Amino acid sequence: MIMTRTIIGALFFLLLADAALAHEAEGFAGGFVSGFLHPLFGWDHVVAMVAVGLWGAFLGVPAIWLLPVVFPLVMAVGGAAGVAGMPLPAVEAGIAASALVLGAMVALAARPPLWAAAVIVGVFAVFHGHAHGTELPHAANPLAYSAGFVISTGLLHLSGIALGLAARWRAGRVAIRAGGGAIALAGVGFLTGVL
Amino acid sequence: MIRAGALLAAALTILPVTGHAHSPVEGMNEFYNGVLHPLLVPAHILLILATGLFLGQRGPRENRLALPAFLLAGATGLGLAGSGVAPDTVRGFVLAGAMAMGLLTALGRRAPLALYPAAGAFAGLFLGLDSAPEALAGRERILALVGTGVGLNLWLIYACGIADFFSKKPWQRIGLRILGSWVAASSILVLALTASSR
Repeated sequence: MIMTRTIIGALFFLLLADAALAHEAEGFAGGFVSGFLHPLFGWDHVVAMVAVGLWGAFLGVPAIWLLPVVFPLVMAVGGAAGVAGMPLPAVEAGIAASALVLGAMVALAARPPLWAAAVIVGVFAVFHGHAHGTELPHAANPLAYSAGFVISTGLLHLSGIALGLAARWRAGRVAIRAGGGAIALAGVGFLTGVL
Repeated sequence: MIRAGALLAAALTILPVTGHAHSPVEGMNEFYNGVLHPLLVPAHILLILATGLFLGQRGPRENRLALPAFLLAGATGLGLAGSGVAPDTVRGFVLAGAMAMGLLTALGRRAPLALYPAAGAFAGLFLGLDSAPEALAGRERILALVGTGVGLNLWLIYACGIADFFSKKPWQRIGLRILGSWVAASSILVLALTASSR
């Protein structure tokens, strides 16, 4: 009898026990944090996003605001394709190429027509969006995850724009172009697998 | 054996947890939970923010009818939700509205005058329809619905006010457009996820 009571008592407390979650990754907050961190933990994403901001600041108005508006919208279309399971060839190579091309644009101080700059940025946004979109169905809270990674991406653009504002000064322009060169080199590293 | 059964029954009665669709805040009554309800549903935050940005980008002339349209349509939507006649597909309309108004905000162009009250009415109706208080009945249900109505209007006015305040300088207007594009992008992704999971 004592044995039965002990077993039932143990079962009782076993049923009451809940999982110990030190860093709860559930619900809105968990989804938002994992979405927010996703672009920040990939150097290929980070440098490409900063390059978009740098290039926008370099090109001046209206590119300085047009590129950060175009990028998340086209990225969402790429993300939707990823969510829908539409295959996109060479996603990782496309992301690596975005760092190379966008970095080179900054390094060369390229000034193409505004529509051409928007198309270049938009094409690469599809690759970045597709990579994020394939992660979306596994997120704890898909809407919070999307908001997190869109905001994180936007803040990386703003960081690039803030750095790019140094283009007002001669020394600043040299530093920004050197930064663009470093991003392009990193792109080569991502493409070849060295980084 | 009877005692063992009683112990097991006690264990099973402790296990069930109340099902909360939108995690009400404990210690608050139904009215205040209703006021906070729009802030606890991410899709509602997006639509309120998108509507507020879209309306706040323009002056009072465009918004003269938009806010009353939101109020009336919101009350209608909440009334229908309270009667239990809201369809299941409402959430998709909430996200589609957030996407459309986010895109309009990102475009930053002056829209036809009739679009502003139409946007207010659309947002109010679908936010109301999507706010049915689950697991509540009678007086508590009515209190929750009234609270949600107050909350929806309050949060929209705040969003409009902030957007209006930050639409004076060129860089502020750029900021609003970027925010609009973020809202639209988030909505597009979740709409795609909803469509692909059907």
